[in-house]
Amino acid sequence: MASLDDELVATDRYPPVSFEERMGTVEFRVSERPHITVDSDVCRSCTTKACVHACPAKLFVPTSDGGILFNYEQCFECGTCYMVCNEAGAITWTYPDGGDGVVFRHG
Amino acid sequence: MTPRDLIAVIVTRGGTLPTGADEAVAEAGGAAVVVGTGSEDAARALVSARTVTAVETEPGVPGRLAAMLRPLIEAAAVVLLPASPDGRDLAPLLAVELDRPLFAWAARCSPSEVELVRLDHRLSIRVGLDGPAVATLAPGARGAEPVQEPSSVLPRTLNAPKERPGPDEPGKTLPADPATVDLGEARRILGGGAGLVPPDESGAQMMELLGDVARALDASAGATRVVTDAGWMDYSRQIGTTGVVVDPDLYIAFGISGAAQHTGGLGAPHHVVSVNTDPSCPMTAMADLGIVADAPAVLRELARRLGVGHEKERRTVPAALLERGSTVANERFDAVVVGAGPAGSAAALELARAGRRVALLERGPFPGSKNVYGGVVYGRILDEVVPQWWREVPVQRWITRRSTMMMTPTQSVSFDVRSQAWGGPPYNGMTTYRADFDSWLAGKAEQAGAELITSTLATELLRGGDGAITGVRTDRPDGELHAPLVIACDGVNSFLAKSAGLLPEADADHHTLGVKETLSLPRETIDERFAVSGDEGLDIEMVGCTGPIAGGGFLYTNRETVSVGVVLSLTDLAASGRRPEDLIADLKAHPSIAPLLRGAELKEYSAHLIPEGGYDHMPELATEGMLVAGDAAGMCLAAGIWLEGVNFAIGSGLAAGRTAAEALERGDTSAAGLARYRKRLSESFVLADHKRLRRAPGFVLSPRVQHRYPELVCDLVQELFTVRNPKPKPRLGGLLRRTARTKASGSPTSPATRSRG
Ligand SMILES: Cc1cc2nc3c(=O)[nH]c(=O)nc-3n(C[C@H](O)[C@H](O)[C@H](O)COP(=O)(O)OP(=O)(O)OC[C@H]3O[C@@H](n4cnc5c(N)ncnc54)[C@H](O)[C@@H]3O)c2cc1C
Ligand code: SF4
Ligand code: SF4
Repeated sequence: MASLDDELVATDRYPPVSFEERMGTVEFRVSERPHITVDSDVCRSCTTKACVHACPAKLFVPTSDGGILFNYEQCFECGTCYMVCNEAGAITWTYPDGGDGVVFRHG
Repeated sequence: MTPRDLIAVIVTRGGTLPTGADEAVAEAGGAAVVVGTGSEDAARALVSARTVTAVETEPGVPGRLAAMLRPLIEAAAVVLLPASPDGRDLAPLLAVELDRPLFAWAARCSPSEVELVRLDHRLSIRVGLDGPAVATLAPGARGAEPVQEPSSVLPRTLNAPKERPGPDEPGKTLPADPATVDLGEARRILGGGAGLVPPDESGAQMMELLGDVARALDASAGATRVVTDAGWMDYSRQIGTTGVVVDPDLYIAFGISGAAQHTGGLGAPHHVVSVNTDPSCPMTAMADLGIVADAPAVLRELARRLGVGHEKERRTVPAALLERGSTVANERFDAVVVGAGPAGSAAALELARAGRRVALLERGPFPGSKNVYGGVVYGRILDEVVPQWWREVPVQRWITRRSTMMMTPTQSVSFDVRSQAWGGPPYNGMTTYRADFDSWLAGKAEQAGAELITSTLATELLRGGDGAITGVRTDRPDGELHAPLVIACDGVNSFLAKSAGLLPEADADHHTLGVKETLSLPRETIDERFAVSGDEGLDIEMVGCTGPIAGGGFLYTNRETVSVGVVLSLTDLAASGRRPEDLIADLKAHPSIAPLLRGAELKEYSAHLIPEGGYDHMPELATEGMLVAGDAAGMCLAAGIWLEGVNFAIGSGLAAGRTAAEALERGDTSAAGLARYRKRLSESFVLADHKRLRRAPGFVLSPRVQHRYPELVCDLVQELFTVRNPKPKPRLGGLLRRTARTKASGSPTSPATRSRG
């Protein structure tokens, strides 16, 4: 579904901020330890895949075999994914180690 | 070719066309010169070309290329190149060769006018041309229409006119002199504040020394307003909201307290070092490395070691270098407070004031670095923290205008309140960034004696033999912190409250997701568009703007940014298939909001959860050896027309700290010994407000408030003000009944099927 913004931009002629540019505005001190892991085998039986569109950082990518490819690096540490997750045990969620992860300057 | 024509110049390598080649050719009306290797193939690949000259040359020095091309293009009014890497290399050299002005990054171009795009394509500038020019075309700005008839391609070989003194090799890149470089571009900056000038010494001399040290470190010198006002450094070197806005990789602040006016101009430096005798000044609080020492002494020592300046005499650094957060733990405290958000800092402050040894643990590199909110702190509770707090709190704007807006996709009705009384002490609300505010408040706790330990994550609750909580384990080596009392101020997702069994692991029904964009706009533009001036600001809360998802929206003005975001029910979001940032985009495109934000540039995107369960879903507030405060205890009112939590966090933190101090005094930190906490909260606004509004979350998120009421009100008001002459105005009573009836019989635009509240 085209959002209102797309229409606005179409008439304005100029492209909107891409998702990469959007995430590029945020500082991440990427840690070596993935603080969130996703068990793709569990995801295969999930019917909602709610994480895919709900994660504000768009970190959950559906794979062709029905599973999930997850990358922890640009995570807001918000908690949305485990709250909306449909299958127990799919997401193992922790905060990154002290000092690592997202740094908001204008939060 | 008449001088009214345009011609496109396309550089090709191996017959490949650069991005934007066809667009440039189309904009030039089909006339092009293709130059490089495989030029004929490339020329035939152009779909927008009518007549092309293909010049086969080895990829060479752009300067020589410019001279070669001259005879082919000098008759054209505008020479247009795609803004591809090769195009951007060649364009300035063509401009020099042809002695014409260069217009970079155009969207449109004609012999009489170029339209330039700036600020991420959000701003367009039209420039009239009174002579020939060279321009580069932004790719993707116009598209390219293919021409029907095949183009004619004319292969040419050209020789570089040998006698021409064109540049034969790319000019040397000279490094900018850090002493004179525009501060806005400096990668390393040493800043001097009033604290760098010892009494009875010459400020100008200290600043000169700062400049010498800066030069030795390949850095630039800047200063605060106090310094430039005193004439010790030039005004062009003043960093801050009234001076230059900088964005260095490294900022070293010498004797700078870190007033918001200064730090507001700092951008987002990767590393901040603060040298200051006051360990709790905001500058040190926001620093990665705080050096608690006399700033002039440190600067002199640096100068001596670098062998610069006139420092002959040897001095020593009076205080040891103190690296933040490297404190070795495994220590005993009277209390451990987890989380240096507003709740934690308030709790630690109270305990420290009561003379207790308290550790304040924060997982972020500095307080506030992990925290996101809409943007307004209701500050009256700060009276209990510092008298006349408004004199020192890092504020963006004081809220003097508050709007509540009811919206449908095409309508809105606002309730707008303005009070100048809110613009003076003791004020009502203020906008501020959490990085600034949380750091300031944690600084107050430190000043009172609390030990702030940043970059440290609490990973586990420690328990004694009887099961009572006796401290926390952290992620640092040997990092156990022992204390008879832990205060969980670790916010939403509270790991501590969950591991103590006080909160469920996941609870999508009682949480909302907040996503926010911080957008930059010039200060004067904000003042004009939002009808505020000086330090005044506006806050807008919105309902009916989140489509099929229950929630709300907000818009707050900061000094030079605007925060816009939406709050979304997690269960609705999960079911909707929509993306959070698209919902912000919809809100920003609403006819009532779009004009307010035109041209604004995204500065930061952020997201955070909000506990939205209200009074009825709060956890136990006290257990054996632990108290819970702030968002960790679900003390937040965020349903639509309110967005408050910082005030409740501070209120509950203070109450927790007081209760903890009393319990420690009595030596009873059992759940029973801590029971006074809940009573204290019930007597204060914290639980009183939540109790009074216990049904608010369900009510505000109900379909009635989310859709029916906004539609009803918008339609009613629209009818009221639609003039249908010669028909007379309808009576209000009849209008009300009629609008209510059409809405009650099921409006086709009401998508909500929520059963809440
Ligand atoms: C989008 C949005 C808009 C909002 N708008 C407003 C508004 O305009 N006005 C308002 O008053 N309120 C607003 N709120 C609510 C407000 O932000 C919160 O209620 C408030 O921040 C709660 O303070 P706190 O100290 O309890 O928790 P937080 O501010 O969340 O602080 C918790 C701290 O604990 C740290 N921490 C967490 N776990 C650990 C651990 N294991 N070890 C060490 N440290 C840890 C975190 O890093 C964090 O610094 C908004 C919230 C959101 C999400
Ligand atoms: S919602 Fe949970 S189970 Fe479903 S795909 Fe996402 S992570 Fe996997
Ligand atoms: S915590 Fe938030 S940002 Fe991180 S993966 Fe989960 S939903 Fe995405």
